Amino acid sequence: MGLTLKRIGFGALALAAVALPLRKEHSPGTMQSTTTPALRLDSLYWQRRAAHLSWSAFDLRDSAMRTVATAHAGGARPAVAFRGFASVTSNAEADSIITTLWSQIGHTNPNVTVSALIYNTRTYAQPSYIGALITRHDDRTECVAISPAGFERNGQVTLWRQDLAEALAPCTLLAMFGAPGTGVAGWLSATGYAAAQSNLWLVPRKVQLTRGPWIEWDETGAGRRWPDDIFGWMQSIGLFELAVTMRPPYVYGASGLRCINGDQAACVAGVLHSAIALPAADSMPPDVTLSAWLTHPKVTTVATIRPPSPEFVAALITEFGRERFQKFWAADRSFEAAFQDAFGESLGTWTAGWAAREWRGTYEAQHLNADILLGVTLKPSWLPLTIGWTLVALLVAGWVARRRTA
Amino acid sequence: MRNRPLFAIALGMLLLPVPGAAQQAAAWRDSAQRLDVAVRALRDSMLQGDSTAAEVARRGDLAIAASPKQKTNAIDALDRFVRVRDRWYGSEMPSASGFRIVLRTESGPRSNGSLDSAGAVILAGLPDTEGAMRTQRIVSASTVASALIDRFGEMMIASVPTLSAWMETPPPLSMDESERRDQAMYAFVTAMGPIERRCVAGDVTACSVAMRIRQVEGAEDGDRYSPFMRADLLYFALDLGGPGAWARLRSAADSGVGAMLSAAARMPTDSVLARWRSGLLALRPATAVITARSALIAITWSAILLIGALGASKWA
Repeated sequence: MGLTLKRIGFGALALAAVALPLRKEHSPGTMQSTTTPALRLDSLYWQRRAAHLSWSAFDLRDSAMRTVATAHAGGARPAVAFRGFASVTSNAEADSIITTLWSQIGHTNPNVTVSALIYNTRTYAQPSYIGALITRHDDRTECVAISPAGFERNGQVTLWRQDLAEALAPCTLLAMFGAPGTGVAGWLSATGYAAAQSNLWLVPRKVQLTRGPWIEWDETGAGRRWPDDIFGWMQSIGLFELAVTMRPPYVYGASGLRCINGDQAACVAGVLHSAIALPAADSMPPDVTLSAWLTHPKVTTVATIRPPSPEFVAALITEFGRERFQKFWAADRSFEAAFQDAFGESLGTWTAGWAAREWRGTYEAQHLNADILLGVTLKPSWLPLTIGWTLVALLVAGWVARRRTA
Repeated sequence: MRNRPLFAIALGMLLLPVPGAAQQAAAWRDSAQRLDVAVRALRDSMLQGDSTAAEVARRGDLAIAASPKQKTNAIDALDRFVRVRDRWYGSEMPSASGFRIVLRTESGPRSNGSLDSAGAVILAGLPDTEGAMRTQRIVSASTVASALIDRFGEMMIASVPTLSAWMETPPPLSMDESERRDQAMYAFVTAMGPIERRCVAGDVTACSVAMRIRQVEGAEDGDRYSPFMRADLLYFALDLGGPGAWARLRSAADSGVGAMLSAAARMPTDSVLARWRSGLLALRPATAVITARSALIAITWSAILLIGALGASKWA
């Protein structure tokens, strides 16, 4: 009877050891506001932010349309207009960026008009729109890059170079390659040009690290965890560092991770069927480009398919050259068919190789861990639990063995 | 214009959608302005504070009030706040009318039992009159002191617009100084932009460009240090200058960031940068050493795995 009780007790302990890691835990990183005014304030902040973004987008679109009306098609370089700066008609930094890009483009498409609109960021006071307005009428295409700048007390306009360069990126593609064919045009419209916002094909990067192949979307909701959600003693014995070096980059989503590991179907899904959520037409003009953070779906889990990074299109041009890219860009065929026809390999094959290269070039891959382990990975609590219960099992086995030999 | 009819048609076509877009822009602008008003009104009502909070302590021109369960927490926080404020800002305030920081405390899942309660802590820099700078946050009860210090740091930076524009994001005033310096050292020596590498190599002009003190054409955005590094430089300059450093910095606010740092530290800007650079380089570890912690971890894991490998029968 005593032995039976001991066996039952041991079995219960073993069951608890298995069930312990599976219990639902509170997410301490998510601060749950309990006061009604605080909840209301949070909600108002988000609504205000969204309203300011929509206001700036529609208002700047109006200004951009007026800029289009006065621009000249196929000009040697884009004209730059300023809004919100009294008596400012030029800016050396803007000229420098445009000169650098247009000198690399060379001969531009005569049916494409490019201009830039630089606005005073104080006009909207909140996060405001950055991107490009792209319109098409018959065989003419107009692209206006919209970018903010600050105004110093001494009358100098302070431009954020990276913002203007990224806003110009879709325009440089159009200026070089003209209007896209039906397959590519449909894809660009459906994704808000999210994967075509880099000028790396014109101005190579100066640092060796890459941005990563997919847009990094964090998970939303109660399922997300924070790095400090680890017991203090686990950190003191190095378990936290172990977990960080072992975990895959979940921000890429399951599809992105499978693509990096060579799953071509996952690669195609990421490029063509990502979870980009375009805003409603009454909250954002339909003919402006959108950055990845404006197209983030409300609910994101590990299963959400992330879109490719803003450097995807630039990478295609860099690898295959302008001539073959022109063939792909202008083809009136489906995206995949145009890709295969122009580049001689399937979208899935090339994207898998590209994603793996981009991943290996990131800081995480080079300095933490380049291996991506798919499937079940260990929770930090499993290691000490496994070792602990192994010790208990060994002690019990040893005790039983001693009793038998006694 | 050579093609006037074509231009007129194109202009007309382009302008056709404009009225619709203009109406949407106006509607969103009105919505944004209504929301601005609503946010300000709600924040103002929350900034009045909790009616159950009563004054619990004073230190010179600072007074702190707290709800009953946060009284001890508030007094401890005030003492820490005074030490930090005296260290970096002396008796300065973000505004001649004073300031007010309202914190609403909430329970965190790992908070200390004695602090585990909702309440309010209100720190006022007297006179705290009509024009005082005000802010409010919701924080965990265990982080009241850090929250007061960080909010104060934000307000002090915001009170100097040129400095605020240069800093971009508020500096971590509550951060442990040695930890801040260590992180700055790591960021400094591992930065990869060409201008940043020249700064590490000893080119002080490159340091001033990387710190956005000087502007140079052709420098890419990647060649700039982060706001955290600028915060480290600011506090280094305040430390160099000693008592009155912040007041001197503010007096030079119209002369640019370089002049402000120079006034604070009481030496030329390039000298401040050179000393800052040398100070960070001096923090680099001399050699890779095995610490007691890493040795203990290695031995512990080795022992555990050895026991498992040998098997229980060896011990029976």
